[in-house]
Amino acid sequence: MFSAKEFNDQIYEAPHGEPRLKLLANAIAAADEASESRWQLQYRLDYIEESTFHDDNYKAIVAFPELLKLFDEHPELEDDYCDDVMQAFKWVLENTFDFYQISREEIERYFDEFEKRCKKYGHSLRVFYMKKCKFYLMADMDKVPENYEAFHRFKRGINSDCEACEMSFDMKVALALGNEEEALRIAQPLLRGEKHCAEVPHCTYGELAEHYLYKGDIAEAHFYGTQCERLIGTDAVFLTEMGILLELYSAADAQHGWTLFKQSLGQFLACRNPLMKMHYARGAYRLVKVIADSMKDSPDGAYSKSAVLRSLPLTFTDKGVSLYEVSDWFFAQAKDQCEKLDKRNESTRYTDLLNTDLQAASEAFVPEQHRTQHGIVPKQRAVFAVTLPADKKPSIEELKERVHFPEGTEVLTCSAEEQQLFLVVRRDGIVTEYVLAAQELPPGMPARPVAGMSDETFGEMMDVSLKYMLSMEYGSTPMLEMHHAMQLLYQLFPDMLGVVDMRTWHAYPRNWVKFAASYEHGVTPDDLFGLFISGSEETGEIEMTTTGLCALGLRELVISGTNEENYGDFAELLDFAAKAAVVQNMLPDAGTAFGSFRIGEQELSFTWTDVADCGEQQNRDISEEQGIPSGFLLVQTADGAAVLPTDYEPLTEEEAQFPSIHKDFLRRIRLAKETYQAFEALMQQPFARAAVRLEYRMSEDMADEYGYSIELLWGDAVRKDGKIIQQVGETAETLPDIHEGDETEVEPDAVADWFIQPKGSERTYGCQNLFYLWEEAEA
Amino acid sequence: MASFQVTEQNFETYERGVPRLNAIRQAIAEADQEKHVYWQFRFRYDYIEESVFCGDRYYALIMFPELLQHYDAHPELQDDANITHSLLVNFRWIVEAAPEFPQISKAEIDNYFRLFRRRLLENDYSLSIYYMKRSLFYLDIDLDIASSDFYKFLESPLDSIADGKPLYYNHQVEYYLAMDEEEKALKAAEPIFSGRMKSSALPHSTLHKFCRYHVLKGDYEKALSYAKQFEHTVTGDLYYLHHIGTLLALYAHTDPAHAAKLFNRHYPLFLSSKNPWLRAAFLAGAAAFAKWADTQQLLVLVSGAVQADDPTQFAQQLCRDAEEVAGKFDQRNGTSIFTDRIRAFCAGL
Repeated sequence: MFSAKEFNDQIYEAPHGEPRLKLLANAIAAADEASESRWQLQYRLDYIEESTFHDDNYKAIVAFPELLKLFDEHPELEDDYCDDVMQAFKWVLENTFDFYQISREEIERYFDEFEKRCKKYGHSLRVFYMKKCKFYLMADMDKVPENYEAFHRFKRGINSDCEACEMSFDMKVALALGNEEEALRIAQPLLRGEKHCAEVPHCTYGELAEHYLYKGDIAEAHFYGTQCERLIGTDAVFLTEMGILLELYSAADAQHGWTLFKQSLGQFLACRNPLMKMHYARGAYRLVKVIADSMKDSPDGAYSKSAVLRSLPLTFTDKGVSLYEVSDWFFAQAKDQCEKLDKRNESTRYTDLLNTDLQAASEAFVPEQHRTQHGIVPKQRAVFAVTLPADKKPSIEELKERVHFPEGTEVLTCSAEEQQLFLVVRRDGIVTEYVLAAQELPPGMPARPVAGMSDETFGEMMDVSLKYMLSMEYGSTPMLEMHHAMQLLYQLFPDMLGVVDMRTWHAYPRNWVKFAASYEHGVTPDDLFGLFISGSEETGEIEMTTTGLCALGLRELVISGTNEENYGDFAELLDFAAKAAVVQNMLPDAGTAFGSFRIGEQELSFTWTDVADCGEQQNRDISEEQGIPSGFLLVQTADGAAVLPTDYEPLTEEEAQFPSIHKDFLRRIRLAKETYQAFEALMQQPFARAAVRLEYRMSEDMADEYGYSIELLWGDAVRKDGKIIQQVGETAETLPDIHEGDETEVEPDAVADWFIQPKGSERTYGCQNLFYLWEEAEA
Repeated sequence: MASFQVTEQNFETYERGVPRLNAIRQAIAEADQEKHVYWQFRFRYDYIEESVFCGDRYYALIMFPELLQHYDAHPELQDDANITHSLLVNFRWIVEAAPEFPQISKAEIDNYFRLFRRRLLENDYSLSIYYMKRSLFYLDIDLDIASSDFYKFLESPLDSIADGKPLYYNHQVEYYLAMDEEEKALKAAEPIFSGRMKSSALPHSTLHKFCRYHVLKGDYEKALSYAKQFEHTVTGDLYYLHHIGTLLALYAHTDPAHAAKLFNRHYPLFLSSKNPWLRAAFLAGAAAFAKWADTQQLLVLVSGAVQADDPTQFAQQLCRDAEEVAGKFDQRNGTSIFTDRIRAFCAGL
């Protein structure tokens, strides 16, 4: 018997794209066989949606006529499915533009049918004219104005694209009509993140990148391209945008473009959408050509042995494949698609773009000048420089042999080529690409030692000029990805002196790398965001900065005037603000609110101001002191008044409630549990003092009354009869039955924190500085 | 305008429920007389809100078509994003409330949902709330449709019309328990039970769902462990009569004397409720208790609050009433879930 629930359970647990499409195809077949008309329609709608938003649209176009036929055959379902079918019609109508195989006459027929049905069902014609205008942007610019005007004449309706999509479309039209200023004005809400959807501003950034690229303003194109790249990931639906990025990086950063090319080539080969293929092939042609030109005079010539290129129908020799052949192949692909699309559109638009020479603009581009008038520094890649003792110089081939990932890791690529170790792995659902290469670096690296690194080790690290450079990019889970990177580095270089994170310029000793590799929660936000504290013992004043924000492509912020008593509160505040900025992927414009929090009844948010403005008020020039651009973090009240956090009176009197505190708090508790074995081992040795913090569950009545159910209590840890016992050292009104001195056996699952001072040691170890137990450099 | 503002502020001086509804009714009449478009809308909104949260939703359903008509007739209201948002919030309450009245046909409810969906799309809101409420409705009707809507709800972004993150998890609990997937329900409930997610209806609503699940399964020990966590927060509240129904069924099996106490306390509230769904849920539990009382010939039913000359006859009447109202829902829904629930509550008594 047909059960939609069983299919639904499978479909929605599957990842988007091909796996889900396959399950939906099965569900369609089963519904057809059972003649379940409702589900025949429903699954076809889902299939078209999946193909449109998570694939190359091809399957949507193929499936749509069947859907329409079924819908017309079942008038009893019209009320339930009319809106959905018209929505699918809208998607498919737009998809037809991408396929040159669909003639202009057929597209016009699709439009006629869509218009007829819009009128029949009482839908607004707004979206009809919008799509028509979109088609004429490709095919006939003369017809754009009248259709664009008609689009705005009709009110929004059920079938309208979302406001973000409409806004992005308005911008596209303004660009096409040569009104760049108007286009940027229209796009502001999208660029500020006020309006967004699953495709916008991803596509908006792509459009702008392409516009500026062809205009010859590569710095501006690079800015938008970087934003686009952060958003699109490796989703097949954004192959057009990926093509634009390849084209952009052919002019701005060919090496980075090459990395993207290798990641995305598989999607291009699997894609059946001619417009997407055309964009990608055009970008790949330009990129590979630039790389080939740069290599042609090298001893090995313009050849590559990269394994991913084997999927192309080209001849491999001992030297690999000629990059000129690769470039020519992509050019032929692009030319073919351009000509076919142009022929169908009765236009020369795409052929003209393919024949545009971008070289002059590329030569004028200065990579260092990435900052634009938008005030946002583009995100940089993560690069770790590993230093080994001077006598150790493993080859790339030797390092390849050392690669061994934990169970559950899928190694997509592991190859040693062109003096580089190239690794692509999928782990915990995250695909990461690592590139490792040895490089002689000149002295003078501006690193500073952190994590208790000794001057000796640091000095030695700086003296050795040969570094092993690991490059990668952070995705949406930077802490987990850094943990993975540390695991890889520790496995490849167990005898290292240390690592310099070249984005934060933090130099970490070997023992910290081992620690961060061993414990997932050992990589703390402070390390990543580069919370930096300096101060004076005499005055008790402390200055705090978010150096790491720069490393994540954001401005550094400063809180000044904090002192020894309140710096803990401000550390949390700064940490939270940093993360609020990271979550948004960028720091908004100065004066714009981000990361709201609450003090008592008052809703507050953070904002920032340029260092010049605030420094003037403070009569100081922080930028000179630090030598890097920076801003001041401000607290903003609901009425828009902004002050330095230190000047904001209630902050020091009443606890601030940050939405993310709980998460970090739990993270620290998880680290305590992860490291409990180390604590247990230390407890077996003589120790001067040990303490453990345990979770105590409150009674249900108490939990109801107070709104939470677990209290954390510190107490001395002692050994008794082979067990570890906590002697409760503090009480809580929510736990009336727990008294000071009560003894509780320590269960690892209940541990929330711990520290221990071994006998004869001056150092106290806790879960966050456990790495001190190991030698800094054992080499 | 200022006087209408004062009028609105004065609503607070009235007792919640019917007295306040009457006061708002009067204000609506005044705004209508002055043809003040904004306050005509605003007072109707207030009226629906009061009916939903402090009444039995009956009056909300009567008022809503007026509100919608008024909004559609005035473009100046449609151009105000805040007013549109208010309308959609109202609409959200209505699609939740309509299924609670068996006199509203399934076709009419489907129509409400369709209209709600259209309005959400037209105004660029997420369909999350639509899928959530529709899957809830279809849990009693068609599990295939409920599951389809449920997964779409999970994949749709939450926005300002949505019920919020705590109820997002709470709805997952409802769904998974309805599908007899307790483990998944427990996982979904974790943010609520840990205290991280709260709302005015949580955690007691979630606890109640687990309690009812175990009562229906006949696992009274587990049901009791949940019941004692939420009972004190729901007793005496008209809004939680359905929770009381579950507790009555549970205590009929485990502590009849306590069931009698609960029944006596809540029976007058039940009599004052015009919400058939709340009444049905209360009666289902009351039927279990009455069945026990009937067989044991216990006279605990008679108290100051419940005047019954013949307790046995009264108990039988409760059972008949429960069957009757459950039958109406089942007839509307084309299933037997409401009747089956009474049978499960009464099993073994």
